[in-house]
Amino acid sequence: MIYILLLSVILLRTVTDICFKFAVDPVDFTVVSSVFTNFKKIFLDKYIWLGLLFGVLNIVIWWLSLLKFDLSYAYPFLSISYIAIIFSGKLFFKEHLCRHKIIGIIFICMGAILLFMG
Amino acid sequence: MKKLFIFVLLPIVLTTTGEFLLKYNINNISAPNYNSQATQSVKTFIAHIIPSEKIAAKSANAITVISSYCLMPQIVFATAFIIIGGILWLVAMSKYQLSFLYPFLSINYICIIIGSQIFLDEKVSLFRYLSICLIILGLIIISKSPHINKKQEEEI
Repeated sequence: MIYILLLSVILLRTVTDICFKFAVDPVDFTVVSSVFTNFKKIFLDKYIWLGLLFGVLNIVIWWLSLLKFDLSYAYPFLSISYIAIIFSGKLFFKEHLCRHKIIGIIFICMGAILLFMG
Repeated sequence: MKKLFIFVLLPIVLTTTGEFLLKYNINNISAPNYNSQATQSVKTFIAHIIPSEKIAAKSANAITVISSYCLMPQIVFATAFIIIGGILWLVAMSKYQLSFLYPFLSINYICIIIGSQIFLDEKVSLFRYLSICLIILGLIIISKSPHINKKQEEEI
């Protein structure tokens, strides 16, 4: 039952990353001259504030999970968030899954299952 | 070279140090008073929204813990390390290719598992080591995927 804390942290971390990516995506950082206008555009974007909100929730629920779990147990679980981020990349940002990503996801899943059982 | 240290190695140091400090402090803080007036009033408030008694009690306890943590300087300090490390890592992600960065992320995991044995006196079984090896392997394989949509990295 307390594993719901870890699952929430994973979910919130994924959502935070997605929000930040939505905010940063339209901005082109390669053009150095427009750095300050870029920053203004980023901070006025609603996705940054949404991402910050989810980030705060993430931290707060991470505090609660550290109350219940060891750090060396809880921290590797967060790697599952990379799996969720890869799938959301395919869903929202039209990134492609390839062989490497799928094999890597399988390894991370195996590691997480082993951690859960051990 | 300096950029590499600031945006890639420094976040790793900050994040791991912050997590250790956070866990250490959480271990050493005594439990707050769950029967205080404030907690009970939060509990009755939540019980109006969500009828389950158990869930209301747990949420009220959680809110008590969180609000007490927000006021403790050692917890805020450790969390600030983690947040700053996270921000610097975000900058690194915009500067460097993922295939370059993910192996550094693996260093993060190794530091955490070794450090939590040394600093936090946690018992780490062979299963945990094995699972972390598998996770690191997975991260490195993911990082080697082609067509990563990042611009080429700048001068290191």
